[in-house]
Amino acid sequence: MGTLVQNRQILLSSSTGKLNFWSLYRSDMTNFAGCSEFHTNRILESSSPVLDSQIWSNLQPELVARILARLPLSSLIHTRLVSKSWDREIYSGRVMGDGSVHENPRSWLFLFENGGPGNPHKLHAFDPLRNDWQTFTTIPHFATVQKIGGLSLCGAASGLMVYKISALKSHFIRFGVFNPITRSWKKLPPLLKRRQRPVVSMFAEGSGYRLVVAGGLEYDQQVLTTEVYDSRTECWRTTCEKFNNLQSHVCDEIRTSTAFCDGVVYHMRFTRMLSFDPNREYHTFMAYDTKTARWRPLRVPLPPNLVFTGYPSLKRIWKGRAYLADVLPPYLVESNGRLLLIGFREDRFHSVVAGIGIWELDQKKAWKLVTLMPDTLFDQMCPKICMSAYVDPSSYLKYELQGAGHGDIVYIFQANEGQGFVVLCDFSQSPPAWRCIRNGIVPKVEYSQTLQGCVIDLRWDTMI
Amino acid sequence: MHFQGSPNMAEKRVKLISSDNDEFEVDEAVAFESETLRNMIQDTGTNVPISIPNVSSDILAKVLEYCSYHAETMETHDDKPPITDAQIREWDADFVDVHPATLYSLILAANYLNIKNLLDLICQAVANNIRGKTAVEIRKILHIQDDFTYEEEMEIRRETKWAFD
Repeated sequence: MGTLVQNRQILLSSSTGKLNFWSLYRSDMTNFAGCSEFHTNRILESSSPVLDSQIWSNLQPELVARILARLPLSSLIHTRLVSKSWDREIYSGRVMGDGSVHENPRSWLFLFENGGPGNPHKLHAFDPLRNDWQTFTTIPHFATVQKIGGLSLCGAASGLMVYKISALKSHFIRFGVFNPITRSWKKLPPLLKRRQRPVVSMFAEGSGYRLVVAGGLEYDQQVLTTEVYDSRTECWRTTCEKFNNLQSHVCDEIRTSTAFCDGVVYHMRFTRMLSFDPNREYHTFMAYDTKTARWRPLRVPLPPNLVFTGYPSLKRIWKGRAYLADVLPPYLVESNGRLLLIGFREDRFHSVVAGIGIWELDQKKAWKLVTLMPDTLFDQMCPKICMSAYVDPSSYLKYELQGAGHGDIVYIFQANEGQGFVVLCDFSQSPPAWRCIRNGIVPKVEYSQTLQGCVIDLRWDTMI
Repeated sequence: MHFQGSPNMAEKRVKLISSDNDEFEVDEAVAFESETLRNMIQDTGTNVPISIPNVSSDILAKVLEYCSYHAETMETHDDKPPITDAQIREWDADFVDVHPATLYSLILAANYLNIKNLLDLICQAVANNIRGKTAVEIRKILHIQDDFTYEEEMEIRRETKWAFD
C-alpha cells in the first residue's frame, strides 16, 4: 500500500508540476547523453515495471497507426524515418487508407493550378479529416522541362495522378503519371496513334493502374481507336477500333466530362454549335466497358431542370442586378460506385439559374435528383463576370463548375479569377451534408487559366 | 484503498483489482466508461471483484480518475452549473500532460479497457508532441531505436525529398 501511494504521488506531481517532458529533450538536444541519463534515473526512481527505456519501440502497430493518423501529412512523412516498424505502419493502410482508424478514409482533394507563363504550377491539397489545406509548390518533374507547352490534370487512381502533357513543337500529347506523396513520376511511352483532345480515364487495376485513351483528332481527321496503357506491361495496346467522335473539327467548341465507375468509363460531351436546327443534339452520352472493350451509346435524357450552354438566355439576379447568364455543362463524378451528375438547375418558370443539383444514374438508367446545394452556399458561389461583344455589350455572368468525387465525398469547385470556391458534399450523411471548405483563397493569379481537381487516397506503394 | 467517485449511495459499486493486487472501488457509472469493464460487469454482476491483470495500480488510479471525471460531466446537478466543454478540454489537456512513459502505460491501459475517448485523447497528445519534429527528435523523445541502415535511410529521404527540403 505504501509503495502505491508513493507511485501515485510521482504520477500526480508529474501532471501538476507543469514540466514539459516532451520539450525537455528537445531543448537539450546537443547534450543528449545527459538527458538520457536523467530520464533513466527518473524511471528507476518511479520503479514501475512498465517504465522501460525501449517501451515505445514495442507499441502495438494498431496503436502506432492510431497516433500517426492524427498527424498532418508533412509530419507523417518525417515519421517514416523513425523506425522500420513505423515506416511499415504508414504503408499499412491503417494510417492513410481504410476505415479501421478513421470513420472516413483518407481521401484528399487535389487542385492543380495551371500556372501559365512566369507562374509556377501549384497543387493545393485538402485533407477532409483534418479540415486542412496544404500547398505543394513542387510539381512533377516533367512539368519543369522547358519544352512542355502545357500540363493538365486529367485523372487519378490508386494514389496517382495522370497529367496530359502537350509539347511546344508538336500538337500531339503524351501522358505523365505522378505520385504527389513520394513525388515520383514517369512519362508514359508515346501513344500508338497520335491524337489531340482524346477521352482520358484512369482506374486502378490490382496493384497497378490502367489508362484508357479514346478518340480525339489527328489534325482534322477523327481518330477512331481506343488504346489502353497497363502499368504492369508498361505499354499501350489498341483495344477497340470504333469510337464515334461527333467532332468534325478542332474548332468545334466542345465540353466533355469523363468518369470511371464500376468498371465502366462514362463520357458525356456537349457540342456548342451555332445552329438553329431544333433537333440538333447537343448532348452525347456513352460508355466504354473495360471488360468487353466496347463503346456503346447511352440513351439517357438529361434531367429536365438541368441547364447548360444550349440555353444561353437565362437570367440571374446577382448583387441586385439582373444579368444574362452563360451556364456551362454539367460534370460527371463517381462516388462510392454511383455515377453522379453535377450541374446547374434552372427555374423554368422564371427562366433563371436557381442553384446546383446532384443527380444519380439509377438502375432504370435515368437521372434522379439526389441532393440540392443549399441556397446560402450557392449565393456565396458567385459567378464569373464576362465581357462579351457578342451577347451583350454589358457584362454577363458565366457559371462554371467542376467536380471530383471519391468515396463518400463529392467536391464542387470553381476557379473564379481569384474567387476560387470549393464546396464539399458528404454522402455518408443522410441527407447529404454540404459545406464550404474554401472561399476566395484559391489562386489570385491573373494568368491562372484553369483549375483542375481530383480526389485520391494517399498512398505511396503504387508502382508508377 | 478506495477510489472516491461521486458519493451517490443509490449507485452500485464495483470492485476492481489491479495487477499488483490493490483494490479499487468505484461507481458502476465510472466503470461503464470502459467497454471492457461494462461487458465484464454485465456478464458477472457487481458482486465479484474484477481483476485487471495487465494494469498496475498507479495507472489504474489515473484511468479511474479520468473515468470518474467524465462520468461526472455526464450527470446533471440542479445545484451546480454544468461543466462546459472548454473546462473538459482544459482538464483533459492537464490529464495528458505527463511523462511519455506514463502516457505509454496509459495508452495500453486505455486500449485494453477499451475507453475510446481516453485512447483518442492520448493518441492526440502523443501526435501533438511529435508533430513538426524530425525523426531523430522523435526517436529521442520516445526512445525508439533507429533500425535503418544508411542506404535504407537515404532511399526514404530520396523518395520524400520534398518534405525534408
